[in-house]
Amino acid sequence: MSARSPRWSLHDVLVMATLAALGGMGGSIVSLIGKAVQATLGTFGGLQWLAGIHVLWLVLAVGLVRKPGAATLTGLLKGAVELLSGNPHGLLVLLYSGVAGLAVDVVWLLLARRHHVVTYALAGGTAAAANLLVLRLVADLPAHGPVLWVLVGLALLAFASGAVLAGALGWWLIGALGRAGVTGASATTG
Amino acid sequence: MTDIAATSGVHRLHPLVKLVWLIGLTVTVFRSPGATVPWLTAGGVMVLLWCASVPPWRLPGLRMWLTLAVMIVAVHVAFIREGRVVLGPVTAAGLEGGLRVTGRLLAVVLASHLFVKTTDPSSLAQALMKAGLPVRWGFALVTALRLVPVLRVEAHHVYRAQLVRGMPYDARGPRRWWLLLRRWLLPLLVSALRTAHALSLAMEGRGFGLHPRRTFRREVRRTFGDVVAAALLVMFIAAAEWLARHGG
Amino acid sequence: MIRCEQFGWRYAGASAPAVRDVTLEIGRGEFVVVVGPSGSGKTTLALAMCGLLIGRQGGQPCGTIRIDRRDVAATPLPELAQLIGLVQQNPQAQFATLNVTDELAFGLENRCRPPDEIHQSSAVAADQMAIAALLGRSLATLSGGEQQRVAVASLLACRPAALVLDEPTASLDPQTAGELFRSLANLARETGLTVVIIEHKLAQLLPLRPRLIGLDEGRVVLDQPAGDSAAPLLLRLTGPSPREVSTPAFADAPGELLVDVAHATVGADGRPILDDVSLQVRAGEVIAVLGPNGSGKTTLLHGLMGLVAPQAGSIHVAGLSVSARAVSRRARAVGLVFQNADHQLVAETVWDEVLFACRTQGRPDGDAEREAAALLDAAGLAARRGDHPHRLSWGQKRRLNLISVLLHKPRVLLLDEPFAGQDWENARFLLRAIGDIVNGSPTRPRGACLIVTHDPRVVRHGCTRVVFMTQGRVELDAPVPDAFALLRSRGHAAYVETGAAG
Ligand SMILES: Nc1ncnc2c1ncn2[C@@H]1O[C@H](COP(=O)(O)OP(=O)(O)OP(=O)(O)O)[C@@H](O)[C@H]1O
Ligand SMILES: Nc1ncnc2c1ncn2[C@@H]1O[C@H](COP(=O)(O)OP(=O)(O)OP(=O)(O)O)[C@@H](O)[C@H]1O
Ligand SMILES: [Mg+2]
Ligand SMILES: [Mg+2]
Repeated sequence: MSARSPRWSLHDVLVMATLAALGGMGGSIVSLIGKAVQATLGTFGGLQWLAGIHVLWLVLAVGLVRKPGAATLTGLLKGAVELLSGNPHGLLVLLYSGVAGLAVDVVWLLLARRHHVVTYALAGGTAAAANLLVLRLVADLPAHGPVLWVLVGLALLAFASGAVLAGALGWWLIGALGRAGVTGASATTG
Repeated sequence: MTDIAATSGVHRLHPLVKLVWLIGLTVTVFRSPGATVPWLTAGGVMVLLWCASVPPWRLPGLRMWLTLAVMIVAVHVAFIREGRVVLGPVTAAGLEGGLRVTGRLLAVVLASHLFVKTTDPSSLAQALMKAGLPVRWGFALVTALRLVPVLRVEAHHVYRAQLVRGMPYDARGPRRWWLLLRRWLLPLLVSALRTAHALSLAMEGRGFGLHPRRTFRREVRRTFGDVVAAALLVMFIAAAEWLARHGG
Repeated sequence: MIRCEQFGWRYAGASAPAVRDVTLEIGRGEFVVVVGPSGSGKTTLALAMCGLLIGRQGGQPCGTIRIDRRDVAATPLPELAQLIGLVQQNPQAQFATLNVTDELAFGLENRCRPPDEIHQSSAVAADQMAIAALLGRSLATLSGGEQQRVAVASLLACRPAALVLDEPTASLDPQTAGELFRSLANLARETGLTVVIIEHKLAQLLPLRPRLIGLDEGRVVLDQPAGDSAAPLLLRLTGPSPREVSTPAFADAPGELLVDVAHATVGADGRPILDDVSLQVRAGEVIAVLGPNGSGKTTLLHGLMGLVAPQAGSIHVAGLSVSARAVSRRARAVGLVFQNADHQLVAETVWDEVLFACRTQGRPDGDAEREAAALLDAAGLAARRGDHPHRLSWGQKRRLNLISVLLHKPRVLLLDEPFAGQDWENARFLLRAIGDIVNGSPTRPRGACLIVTHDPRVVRHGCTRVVFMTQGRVELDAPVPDAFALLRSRGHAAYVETGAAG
């Protein structure tokens, strides 16, 4: 879109749209996996365990499209899909999702776009934790005393979730998709 | 999503006017330092919802919001200790902080709900493209929206197809979680990416990208109502600003 | 119009080219049908003709393809789109908008035509495909056949000079398929549109007198004008000659009761999908489930597997009520092949895919592996063991789906259109494998099988009984020889015409 961003092919754009749709339908995926996780780990930490799943799609966008800005744009698209399909957070979801995408992009660029599991884990973790920062700003929570500690604790939890569910899982999925021959332009239509 | 059958003045407004309203409203309530503007705005949106015959109590996640609102007020009240004491440990500043944040959230969430319920996504995408959004991003939005139900059915199919091959998804515990992530997500993604690929061929195969712009079969008309709505937005922002300056 | 010179293509990572030495010329207004066994390169050729291969997929081309004297490799796709359009197999994957009217307008909007012209051209295209009644509907609510028509119409609205269709009727019932073929043949005759169809349903196409082009192992082995006598390749593809034994060897009279559906009703959104269905299947029976699109065939199979629960009535399979046990536990006794080939592929190589169910059920690997190798070999997939399943052609995937369910010998087989897109050689191999399960062995009791199919050859040569469904009800339930006559007399002749060699 801006002058310095790369040219997006239609294929790139549609891959991002598809990931946004998968993320935006979140409901079913997150609830299915979410139920399994909750059954396993109990409800401690609320939904922060799942923060990673929300970010997974953004990590995949960066890993599959490999152009700076892919995660941010996917995040915005995902937010728009969620907004328009009636997400209870309304316009705020655009903010959450856009910031998460930006975080993924920034970490990925800072780490020299290296295709490595550590890159994705850090990107996923940061993006998941960024949600809490946004939450703090939006809810105008006082940043001192126990509230701060709870927020930091939740952020660490979200970071761990992002690193594993978005980062490591994303890394594995990107590899497996490459082996299936559906990444890039070399997919079959058979 | 949209309740096309119902038409009201709000339904008929130009999608971009509604979008600008939504954004303007959000920025205004978040800029306002007090609790009055957010709560007044929320009240106003509630009235509009009623005019557009969208029942506000059908708001998605109402229970979640009520719980969250109580929690936010509680946190503010418990941890902000400045200002006049109202009752026991509760201070005026704490109470005001809690009310301000809940008012803001309420206003934004209700306004988003109104927007979503009265705007046709295709018209919105078209209006955005006409206003200069590059066509491929406009279609990215349309595609993403269209694929949500398609992929949901797909996800369901993949899940069942594997279940019948003896995949113990109906088991309990960590094993199920691990299996879901590994075995279910991958075919779902494969199938989604193949759809993206086939779609890119199908779109270019019908001349998408031949010209940087495109024409549109139907017109999204601008009406007098749009002008009024735009004027109202300017007045709303000015009023909020005035209230902020003169206590409120 | 379309001219291929010595064209060849090898996919990245493949050992042999998928298409080689193809030299062809197709003129304006011709009605061409491309036939060939599964995996012979038909889809590859279609993609190449429409400019979707060279430079867009990993692989190595040779030779050239020109459309109206323009080299497809050197022409950007949106420009090529003004000359040639491709209808892919899955209509859902080629819609770009949310409703029918927008979809028809899409191509013209891309070309910046004025709204008046868009309205007029869409109306003409809608007329040609007989979908005027669908204008304005949401695409998500259309049935498979309607979606396919909209996909064709949306290309026609752009007025290309040529249209290529890759198995456009694979999931359509014979009635709808026949109508689509006739509309296309008329268009070719009346408007000079060049039509190239890839199809296995020759029975319905031959009466329209197309030019036939046959592919085998990537080469053109047959190119004959309309109405010529059947060549050997055609015989191999279209099925057995009338002299061939027509009833399969199912040993004895039906045995123990394996499937018992009593007054089952399944509904969704307040509308019944299965409406008071009763059905009994005994060991040794192979049931052909026929019926128009949307008549509830898939839902019936899913009900038998326990994926959907009946709201009224009961379903028992192998003596157990379907709701009595977790689905994944029942997979040992009941095998289901889904309608969509891609959904069932779970593993990363063809080999792991075949052994998947055996491994989740802990069957000893030695036997299973030996048998898997034999089945893969017979299905013509032996050389592809290490490939990713998604790199197979459509028909090859379908065979893989079936083999991977056959291996652990479930007692009841539920197969949802496993024969779509199969040539007769392969269909016969699959029928034999199914017969093996149904007939049992000294160590294994006899089983039963329900096959959803639109292919009359399969019904005639592989099934013992026909269940014909319409609108969620069983309209007819009769043994094969009688069923054919009954269906003809009730106006469902399209379901039983076996065509040339039938
Ligand atoms: N992306 C790919 N990578 C490697 N091999 C491929 C790929 N796509 C197809 N092939 C192989 O190329 C050959 C020709 O495939 P193609 O899809 O053209 O066959 P087809 O004639 O359309 O078969 P069917 O009737 O089964 O659809 C097959 O052996 C197939 O496995
Ligand atoms: N989950 C569902 N919700 C609502 N309607 C459904 C659902 N599943 C199926 N249907 C509808 O039920 C009817 C029967 O569907 P089913 O898939 O069983 O048909 P079918 O006979 O297999 O058709 P086809 O030949 O096209 O595969 C269709 O009209 C379909 O739209
Ligand atoms: Mg094919
Ligand atoms: Mg079906």
